Amino acid sequence: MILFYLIASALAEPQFEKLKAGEQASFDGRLLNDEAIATMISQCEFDVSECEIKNDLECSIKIADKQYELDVLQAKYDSLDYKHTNLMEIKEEELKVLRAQSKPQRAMWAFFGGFAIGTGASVATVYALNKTME
Amino acid sequence: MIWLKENWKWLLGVISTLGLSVLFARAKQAKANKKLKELEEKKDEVIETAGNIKADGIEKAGKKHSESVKKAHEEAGKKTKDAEQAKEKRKKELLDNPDDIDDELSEFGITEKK
Repeated sequence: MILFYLIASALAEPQFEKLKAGEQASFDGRLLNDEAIATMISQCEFDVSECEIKNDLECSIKIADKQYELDVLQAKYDSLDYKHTNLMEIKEEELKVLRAQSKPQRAMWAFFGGFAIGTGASVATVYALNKTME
Repeated sequence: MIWLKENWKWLLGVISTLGLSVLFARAKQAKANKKLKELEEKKDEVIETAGNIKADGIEKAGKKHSESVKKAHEEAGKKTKDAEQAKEKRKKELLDNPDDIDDELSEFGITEKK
């Protein structure tokens, strides 16, 4: 195609003339047989197709690359999401345990309960010892 | 000493109560420590599972990518083969119908000299 355009731009009027073998040409130039012309035309069309194919291939590879990047990011996101959700649950449980350790709930009840049990245990021990001593 | 002699039973009771309290407190602390240890192990499991999720995802993505690239190359190869066949066919058609050559040349702006 480029060759034809070059020829077309270089000359004022690009022309061809059909000749039979032995006939004299009316202008200077190159004589090509039909096979040569057909080869040039079909090669020109093939070049266009090949260019489109290469372009499609490049596009497909770029799309695949981007999809790969997206899938990797999705995998990282899924992993982090799972980790975050589960670690938050564990941390929450940990906090519950630690809170129970540092701040017992119903502190007053624990205090009075402990006092009552302690008193009861003391009285019971004394009572038992008295009985034993008797 | 006299006081101790008379009240040793009460003292013993108080000491026993304190001892029991300490034992209960220790039991409670041990229970909490056990729970915390379990949670720590669970945390390690979660981190390991998260790592596996990531690794599996990346592995799948890699396989998918290689398959896509392979498919694209196969498709391009098939299209190139078809285009080559079309080229040969077109060449044959042009040789069978030489008037078409004139039409093609005129499309390039090359006209026949009359």
